[in-house]
Amino acid sequence: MINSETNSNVIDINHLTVGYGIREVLSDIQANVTRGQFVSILGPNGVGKTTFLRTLSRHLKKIRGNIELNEKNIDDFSQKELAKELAVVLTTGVNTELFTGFEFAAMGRYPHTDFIGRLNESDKQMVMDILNLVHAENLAHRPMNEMSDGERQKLFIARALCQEPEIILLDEPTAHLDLKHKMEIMHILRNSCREKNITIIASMHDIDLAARVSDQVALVKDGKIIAWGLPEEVLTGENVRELYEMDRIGYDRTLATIEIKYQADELYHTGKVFCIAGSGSASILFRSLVKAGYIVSTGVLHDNEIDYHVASSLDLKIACAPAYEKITFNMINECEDLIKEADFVIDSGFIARDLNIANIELINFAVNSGKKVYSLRNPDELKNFGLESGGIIPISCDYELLKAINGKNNKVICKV
Amino acid sequence: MNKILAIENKRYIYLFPLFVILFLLSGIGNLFVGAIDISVPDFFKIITGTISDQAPESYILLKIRIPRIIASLIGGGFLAVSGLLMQVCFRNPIVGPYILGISSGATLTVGIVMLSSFSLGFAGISPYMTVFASFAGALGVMIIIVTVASRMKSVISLLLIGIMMGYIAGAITNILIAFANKEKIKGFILWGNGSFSGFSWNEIQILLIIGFIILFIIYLLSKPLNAFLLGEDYAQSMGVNIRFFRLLVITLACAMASLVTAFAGPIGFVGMAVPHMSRILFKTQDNRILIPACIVLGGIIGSICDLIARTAFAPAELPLSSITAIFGAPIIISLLIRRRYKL
Repeated sequence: MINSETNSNVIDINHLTVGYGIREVLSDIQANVTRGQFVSILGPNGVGKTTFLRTLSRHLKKIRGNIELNEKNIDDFSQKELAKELAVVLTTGVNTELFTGFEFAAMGRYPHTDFIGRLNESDKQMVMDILNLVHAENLAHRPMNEMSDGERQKLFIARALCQEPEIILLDEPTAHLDLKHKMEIMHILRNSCREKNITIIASMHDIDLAARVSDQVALVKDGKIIAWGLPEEVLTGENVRELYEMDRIGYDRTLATIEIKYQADELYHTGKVFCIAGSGSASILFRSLVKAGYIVSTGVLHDNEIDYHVASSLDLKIACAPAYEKITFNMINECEDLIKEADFVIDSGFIARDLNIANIELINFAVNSGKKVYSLRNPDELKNFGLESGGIIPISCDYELLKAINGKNNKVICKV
Repeated sequence: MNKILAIENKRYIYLFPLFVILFLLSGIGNLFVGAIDISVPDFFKIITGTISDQAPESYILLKIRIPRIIASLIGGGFLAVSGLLMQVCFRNPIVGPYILGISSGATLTVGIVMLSSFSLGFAGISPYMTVFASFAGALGVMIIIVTVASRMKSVISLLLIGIMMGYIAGAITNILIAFANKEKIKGFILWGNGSFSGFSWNEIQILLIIGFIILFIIYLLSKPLNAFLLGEDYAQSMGVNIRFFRLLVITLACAMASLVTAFAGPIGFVGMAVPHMSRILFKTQDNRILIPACIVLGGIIGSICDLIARTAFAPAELPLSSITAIFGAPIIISLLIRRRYKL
């Protein structure tokens, strides 16, 4: 499959300005797309993603600049030539209720069939193959008015693939879909890039999904494309926050996940918690506690562990240690101060070894300073660490803990 | 391969022969029913020339009944195809030749000829005069719609313009009626109900030749028509030249409707209801099947309605549009109520 063509640019965009008549929506776009890549266009609603895609598909006249497909100006293609290069998946409704899945997908053969659109045997075989590829072979016989949104979307993609294009442009291909179909659609698209060397440009809303499937992402904001490049490079916490102008969103580059910061503030919260954590034992707890309105602080976490990434994208107060280094006295002191402020303390049951064994001391400190301590640790293990059950409430797992604290501590505390 | 072939909808393989037989039967049935009974042996005697051309039976059969049957079969079919094209092009289920103002345009010009003093110069109104006026009116509305269509971006605005044209034409016609004398009004109202009667063989020839030329062109467009079902954006992305195609389809649909309206007057409901019936019976939206289906079903409906119109209260003849409406409206209503098929 690897030949000289494989890595050539299939689309070159030069100083492109798109919009409606004199109203410029996005200006001076500069980009090129390599064959077989998956490009996601990200940005808030109404920012011009669809306008950009519609200009690429020539549904909309560009205002200025140049678009080249395979080094040929897009304006020089006849409508039929363009149909063989470029297919679209749109959000507009279609009026094909009585079409079967097969008939609908076969509409994609349009540019390749004769003047009354007869399918020959190889066309039929190809349509069936593509229906198999998009896991829609079971839809071949069924009329479209009996299908769900996800099933229809698969057929829209099958139809586009039947057109045998080099490029497929998709406008929000996963909007309104359930998780299963969302994942399935992304998988199908990703496979099409890999197996058929098709270039895909899709406007998307799921950043976490885009980070996982895209070769390139473009961030659209304020009338221009503010970044276009590798998702690993472009999708940073800061860029994502800026893109959506949301302080409450935490995006973690390592995990490629979005966290919602509930911002429990000093005046209005359900309580203050200190969570002694580590090695991923508290990630779920952090999210749940923040959601329940607690002000959560944690420590001591090494800055390479998953608990650290989750805690920082949730904006928790963290006493933090550099990766692979021992916990110092200063860090412990910092935690002790946080424990004193907390209403109760949680021991997440982290695995305690050489580098973080000092955290066990924090449990002791909490008990001695009279705080209520919930521990998710095995009681035998507590005994081994010399921690007797006095003052420690053993809890079997994280959701049991949530039930326990929500039962007793669900009053809003107001400090004046 | 067999598995793939099985996927395709093959209902038409047995439905077409069935409906073609019905089409012929409805035509043949019409032959023998009427104010004057013509028996089967008589029929063959007339055809073979055993009964002279001058005999009344012979005159009725050759000069009145057969042209009328052909007109009702073909006219119904043409109106249905016209309605189908409009429904696909406007992506709207309630569109038909009647709604787009073509019939109203024809009614207006015929009204001018029949009701106003304009006709005073003639000793009585020649039937060709109404045909000519009707065609001019339909053509006038069609030219306005097509001109606007080439500039309009949205098909919905175009549809509304067609409806508005219908209102204007209707309003002017009503003003003409207000000033006309009673005898003229009766003739005009009878014409306005539409009828397949009074076709001469010459007119039949014109109807057949022009009609089938248009029909042939329409059939060649069934591929882009299918693409249109996905909407103009998808059609364009598959290689259809939208503006040119839209213009062409509207022109052909209007021409087809104008042709029938010119000779038979405005006939409602066939153009709108028959495409829906075809979709439901053939369970498809593929226009390659629907175009011939509309011809056959439209013909059946046209000739049955005509038969009812001329025999139900014979010798009085019922207005054809009333019959098509009484047949057509319940069909539309039952479709909407069953809702299995989304209009």
